[in-house]
Amino acid sequence: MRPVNRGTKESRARAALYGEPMTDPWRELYDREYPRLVRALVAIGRDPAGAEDAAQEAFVKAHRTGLDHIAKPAAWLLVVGSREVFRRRRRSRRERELWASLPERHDAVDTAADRADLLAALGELPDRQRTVVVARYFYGLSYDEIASHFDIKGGTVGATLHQAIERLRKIQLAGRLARGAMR
Amino acid sequence: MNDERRDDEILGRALGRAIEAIDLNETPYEKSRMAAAPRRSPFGIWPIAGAVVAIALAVAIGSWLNAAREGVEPGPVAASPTPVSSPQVSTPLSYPPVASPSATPSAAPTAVRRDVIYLGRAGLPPVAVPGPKFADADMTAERRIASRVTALRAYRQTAAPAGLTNYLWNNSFQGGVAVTIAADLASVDLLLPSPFTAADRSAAVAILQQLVYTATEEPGIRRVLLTENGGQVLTVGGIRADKPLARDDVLGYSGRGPVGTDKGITWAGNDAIPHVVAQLASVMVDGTTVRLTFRGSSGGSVVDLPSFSVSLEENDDTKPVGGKTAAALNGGKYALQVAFQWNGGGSSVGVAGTTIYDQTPLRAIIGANPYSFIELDDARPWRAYMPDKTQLVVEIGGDPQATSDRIAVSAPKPGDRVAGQPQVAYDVRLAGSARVFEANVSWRVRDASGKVVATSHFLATLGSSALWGTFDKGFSIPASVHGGVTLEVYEVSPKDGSDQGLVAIPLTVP
Repeated sequence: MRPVNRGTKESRARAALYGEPMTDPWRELYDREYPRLVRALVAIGRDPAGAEDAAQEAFVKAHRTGLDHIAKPAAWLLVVGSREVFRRRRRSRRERELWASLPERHDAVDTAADRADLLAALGELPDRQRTVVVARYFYGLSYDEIASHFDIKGGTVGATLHQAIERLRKIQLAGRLARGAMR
Repeated sequence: MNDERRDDEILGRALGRAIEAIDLNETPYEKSRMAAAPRRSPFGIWPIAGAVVAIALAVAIGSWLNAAREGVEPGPVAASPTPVSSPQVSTPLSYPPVASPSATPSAAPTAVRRDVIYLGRAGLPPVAVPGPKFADADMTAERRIASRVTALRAYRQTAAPAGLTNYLWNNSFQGGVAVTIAADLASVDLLLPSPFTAADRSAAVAILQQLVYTATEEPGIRRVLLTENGGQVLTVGGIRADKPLARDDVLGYSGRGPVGTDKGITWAGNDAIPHVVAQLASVMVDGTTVRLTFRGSSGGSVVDLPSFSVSLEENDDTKPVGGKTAAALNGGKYALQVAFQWNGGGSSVGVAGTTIYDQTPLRAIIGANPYSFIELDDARPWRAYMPDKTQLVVEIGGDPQATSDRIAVSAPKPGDRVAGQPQVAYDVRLAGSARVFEANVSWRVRDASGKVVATSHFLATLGSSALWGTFDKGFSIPASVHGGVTLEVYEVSPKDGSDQGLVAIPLTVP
């Protein structure tokens, strides 16, 4: 059986049951997934403009492939988008400067600083670890889903995540200490 | 959950919140690239294509192996390349046609000629021309190989047909060849006072192609180990020939074509029409491509073709294509078999025929109804498509730059200069055939710096089926783009969005 997109099915059902106009499944997917995807790609690629580009490209590719053939559009978009990010980044090596200019939300000063620390620490991880961390803690994908979508051996997802978090903690700690010293 | 795991989870969630807090300039849907892309149904065309395949599989369990007295008649064949007129791919191929000595024979040849050597073409497979004459019938295979290779040294460039280059003319090889044979492997040692000179990589590849094709011209020889000066590894322009090479190793395509019955193409046609002859209506061969068109005919009128199967097999060129034909003719290194369901109904019309071409890469077509054996020099990629139900086109080869395992572009051609008005966008015709998922063919144009300046996609006539689909579309290059550009045509993988079967065609924009 070919997978059927749930959103599409629902909108079809609503259209049939209540006479509601059938919504455009692409718009539905875009509105739901685009902001989350760009944020994830900023975190993975550390380049806001590149992330935006890669997210757009991922949607275009999804459009070409057809919703009917994508079992889990959110995860699919993340996989294709992150690949796109890495492909682009190989071409341009401006990531450091761009990462420094990453906009931050101005909540409480300390929280913002903590968040910036965390994101900066994330930026220090190797590509693969970074992607897996974002897939797990921002997208909430299960270990099995991560293994199958990112072509990683099932048993190593947990270990990769643990290593990544361990490193994050060390880097973040170092950042905090440094900031404390400057105050 | 243990402490360590919980700590990880806490930090992970904090990170998730940090990512959630990243500020964005959100592009609304209306301004997204996807919204600007051509409209398509979210459900694709797979249900239709799937049904076609399912029917094909269900029906194709017929038998076409009956002894037959009627079927394929090799049609009249012109000596010069005859472009197939088909609505999908109608541009005649424009590579210099090769005048083959046997194209206009004084007396009909009865055998495929083996006294040939191969000349090169930059970026294209080599082409056979007449070589040494073997007067002595008792000559050994070793001596024949040695004299063919030696003839490469002596073949003057001025004598070469237009478009062909003897890259060994005036090069370091001035004679001195030692040949030994073990089974299908010939070891050929050349006496070289200095290494071969090659202006660039394509010249180096062409030298290897010339040597490998010429040495394996001997029937029964499929591979050659090239060495120099008494067993040292032959090196041409930095390429080390350190293992035995077959023709398929130096083809110049991204891979060889599918070989084996299991990789063949079958189609369920109309088997209800009696007395159908699948007539070989046209044969086009130009050194790079062979294009055969079969048409269904019954009692003088055009009818739908019966079921058929097409597959490429390795062929023993030391033995006659025996048992299958009256003419005991030795064929090529490979034979493409086109087998039609026999809808003869006991008619005795039609005689098996044999036509010798000897125009690279087509050696001969042996008709043994309802089969045709297309005798070929190598296993270059091939494909089959149907412009309509009455016609089958089998296409072998194509420009290596424009040919992959799933896409074959016939227009534009590599190196073409794009015509058009510089003020407006350049409209370019994009035609060819493809066998890609959902018939969905993607393309993009990169400028000289590699930046994508235009991209879109379209549907071929058929997708995800054994038969290839065709396309004849147009695309535009923005007016601001000039100089060298690259047209890339590819399939977007339905699994992970990566590019598959990409062909990259260099073009020039005025």
